Amino acid sequence: MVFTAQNKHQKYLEQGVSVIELVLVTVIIAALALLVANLPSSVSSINRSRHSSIAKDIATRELEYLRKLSYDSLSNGTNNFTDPDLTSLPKSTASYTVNDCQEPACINGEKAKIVTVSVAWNESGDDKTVDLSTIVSQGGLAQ
Amino acid sequence: MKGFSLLEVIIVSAIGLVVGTFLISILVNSNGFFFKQGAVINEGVNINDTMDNLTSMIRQASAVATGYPEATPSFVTSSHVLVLKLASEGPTEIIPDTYDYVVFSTDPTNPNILRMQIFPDPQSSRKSTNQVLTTLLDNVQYKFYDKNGNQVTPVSASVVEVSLTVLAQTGQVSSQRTSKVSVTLRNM
Amino acid sequence: MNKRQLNKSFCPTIESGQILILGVIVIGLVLVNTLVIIGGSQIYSNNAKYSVEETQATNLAEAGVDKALASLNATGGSYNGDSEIQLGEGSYSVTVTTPDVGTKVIEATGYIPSKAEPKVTRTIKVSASKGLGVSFNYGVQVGEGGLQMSNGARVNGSIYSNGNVSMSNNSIVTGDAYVAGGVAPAPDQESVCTTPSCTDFVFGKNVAGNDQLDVAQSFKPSVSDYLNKISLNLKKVGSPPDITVRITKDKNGSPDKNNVIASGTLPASLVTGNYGFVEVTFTSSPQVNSGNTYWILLDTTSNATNYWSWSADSSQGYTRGAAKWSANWQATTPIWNSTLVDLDFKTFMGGTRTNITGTNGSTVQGDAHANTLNSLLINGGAYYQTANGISAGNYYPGSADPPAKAMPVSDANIQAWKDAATAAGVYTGNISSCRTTLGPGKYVGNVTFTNNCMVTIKDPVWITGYLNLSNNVVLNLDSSYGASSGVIVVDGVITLSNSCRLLGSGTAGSYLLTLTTYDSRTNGSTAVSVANSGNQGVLYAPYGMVVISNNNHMTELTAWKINLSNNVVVDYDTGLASSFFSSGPSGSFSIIKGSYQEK
Repeated sequence: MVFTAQNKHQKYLEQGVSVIELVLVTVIIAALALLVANLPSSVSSINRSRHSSIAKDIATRELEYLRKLSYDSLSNGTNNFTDPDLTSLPKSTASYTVNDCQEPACINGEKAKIVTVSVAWNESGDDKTVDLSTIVSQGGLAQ
Repeated sequence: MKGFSLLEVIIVSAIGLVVGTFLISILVNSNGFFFKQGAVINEGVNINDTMDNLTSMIRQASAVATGYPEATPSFVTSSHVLVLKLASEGPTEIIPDTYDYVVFSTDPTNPNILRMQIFPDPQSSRKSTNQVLTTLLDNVQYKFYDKNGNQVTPVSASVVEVSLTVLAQTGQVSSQRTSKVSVTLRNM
Repeated sequence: MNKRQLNKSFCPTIESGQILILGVIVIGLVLVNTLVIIGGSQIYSNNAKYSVEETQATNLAEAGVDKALASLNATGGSYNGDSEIQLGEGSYSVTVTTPDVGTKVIEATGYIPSKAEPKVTRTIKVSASKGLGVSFNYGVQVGEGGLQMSNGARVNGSIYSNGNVSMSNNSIVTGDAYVAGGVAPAPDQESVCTTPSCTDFVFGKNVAGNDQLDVAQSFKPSVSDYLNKISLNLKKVGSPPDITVRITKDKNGSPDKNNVIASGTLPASLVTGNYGFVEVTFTSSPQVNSGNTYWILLDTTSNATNYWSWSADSSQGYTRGAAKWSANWQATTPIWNSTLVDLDFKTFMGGTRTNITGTNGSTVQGDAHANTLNSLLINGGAYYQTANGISAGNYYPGSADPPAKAMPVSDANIQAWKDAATAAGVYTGNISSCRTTLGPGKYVGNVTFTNNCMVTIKDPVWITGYLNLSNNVVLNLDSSYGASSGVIVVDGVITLSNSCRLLGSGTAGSYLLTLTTYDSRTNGSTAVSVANSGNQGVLYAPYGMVVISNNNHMTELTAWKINLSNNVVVDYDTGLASSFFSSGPSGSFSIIKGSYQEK
């Protein structure tokens, strides 16, 4: 009698898988799969952050340089510039644009120019850019 | 009951060994991966924050000082130590002819620590500070130029170029980046 | 039987879940690593983005500052700010405040992405300045050297003298005439620090937990006389208001709040950001006795942003007094604490009895105030203690002596102009041939112009030698100055002869102040000599003697001693009461170096 009961008990334990176990396992496996799938995108995000910081440095260097030039030597237009760190950025370009300050910022004919420095690169198919804009006026900061 | 023959036991433990090694190698690899990416993250975050701090202080400086205190310096400006003079702050305006000193130096005992210390003048409302900017410093170099780009002595400099290298190391893996910025002293 | 036992002990340990446990542990660790990397990449991405945005916001704030400066110069100072201007990745806003005439404080904030919902903001504050306001309130103001008006000399305006005034035949003052009670030329008591004992005593704010608001320095006069004026070595931080200065008696080693014997005003405008001795005079000069201790008490209110610093001697070399501070000198039981320094001061006692002495028809058409009035025709009231042979509209005997009056421009102001001139450029060598423009700059040498030379002046001009103009020379301020005035500072002697004119820009209210720091008090030589006729200008010689000869028509004169000869007319221009000296040749706003702050 005891023998039969143990047999049945063991059979009960060994044979079936409950619904909860199935659901939990499915959820865990799905979560794992999602996480692992996200991993490459995280890595590329880390890469993007690194490039963005490098681009920020390049742009800051150029803007500081432009700001300390005398106001009269800033001529309107767009120019490219080079920088040794651009090689760390894939497919990079660097340029700055100078324009007279106009409405809505300047309405009194102020002697001021809007200067924008732009560093762009390509992050595995996506075009990314870091832009810094400022205004430089005659007798202003760092002049 | 059934039993297992010796052969079955040996095969099973061999399979267990192989699978276990496989799993552990995944673990190690992912850890290495984790270490590398972790290092990149560390280095990136550190260098951004440190540079932002340095450039902000240089922008506000009235001049580069020869050292602090000026008469008998314990910190001397060099290519590795930067001492700046900032105009002392009354809470809404600056106090003319009065200066606070900001020192960027590495710890004598640990050259990986870059420290910023602020020594304000008694009349100033700026707070005295002793702050570690990064513990991952590999190298820092300061160069001093005038407005036209010529190298000059630190005290005559109106432009300071900072080259900061941060090295983050986790285990055998490391990540390093150098950031270089030239900042004009706005108050010179 | 044996087999069964073997099965039970071996099989479960190998088969039943060891791999599973190992697998679970590995999967768990990989999971954690993955999560950490994903989390870390988020942190790094946020940090990098924040760093870029912070740089952008800083640049936007600097854009606001530069644009505000350009707008101030384009609108002549009437730009007030912008609430929000879009630029690049975000926007900036600017506020401009005017703490005093000629200074603007620009505060610009950069916002990423917009002011309404900013993720990152950076604020930059900078001061820009245009100049200094000076009030010349009298047609003629004279120091202790006194004023001499000869035959037919005329002042269309009022005169104020710290020394005797003598008016000869038919000389006329159309306004009021004041002669202060005489002041001794040298200080009776003084304490002046010398390096390396010089230190700063800050007051007018809370310093390290102490409300150092009321400060007092005691002294013991060596003579019994009137205390005519005092001089204090101060500098200011920010824009504190004028200080009420009191003289009190001593009570148990501290100022006696119930025995205030005099009070006067220290004008904040005479104090600059650099140390300089500033004079204070009193509404009525108190009498002090030798050997008694008196206190010079400065009463301020606490302001963390606008306060003062008194030059102090840390070696405490002044043995006839000490300095103390208190939070409230008028408290029920005021607590006075020692400052452990001596504060730089000078006291000047009354000298001789001063007088206005006229002869033969000398007339004061307004009121005359002096200790002694002799032989005068006064249309207004006569305020005096002693009078001989006067005829006045009204008589007020027993009037107190007028107090001494400080010069309208302080030594610190003159030094600031000299520093600005030096910064504009230093030129060595005498100048003796005509040129179209002069300045801004420091000229090491003598300047001589003659024969119809017309020179446009861009201030400040500092001439270390002498300035000699003869025969129709005209110096006029550049027209770009508009209503602002300019200054020429000369270390040596100024000589004008034959129709030389010192003129402003042409706009009303603009003057060319020509001043010399030449000291006539010691060697008795003339500092400013205006000869012959037709000369014109505003002249200033704080330590010098000015001699104006026949038939000249001056606009305003301020000097230590003045002699007006026959038929000289001083025609006071009321615009001088609020003259404004711009800094720099175009009178444009420029950033005060050292005022750049990031918040």
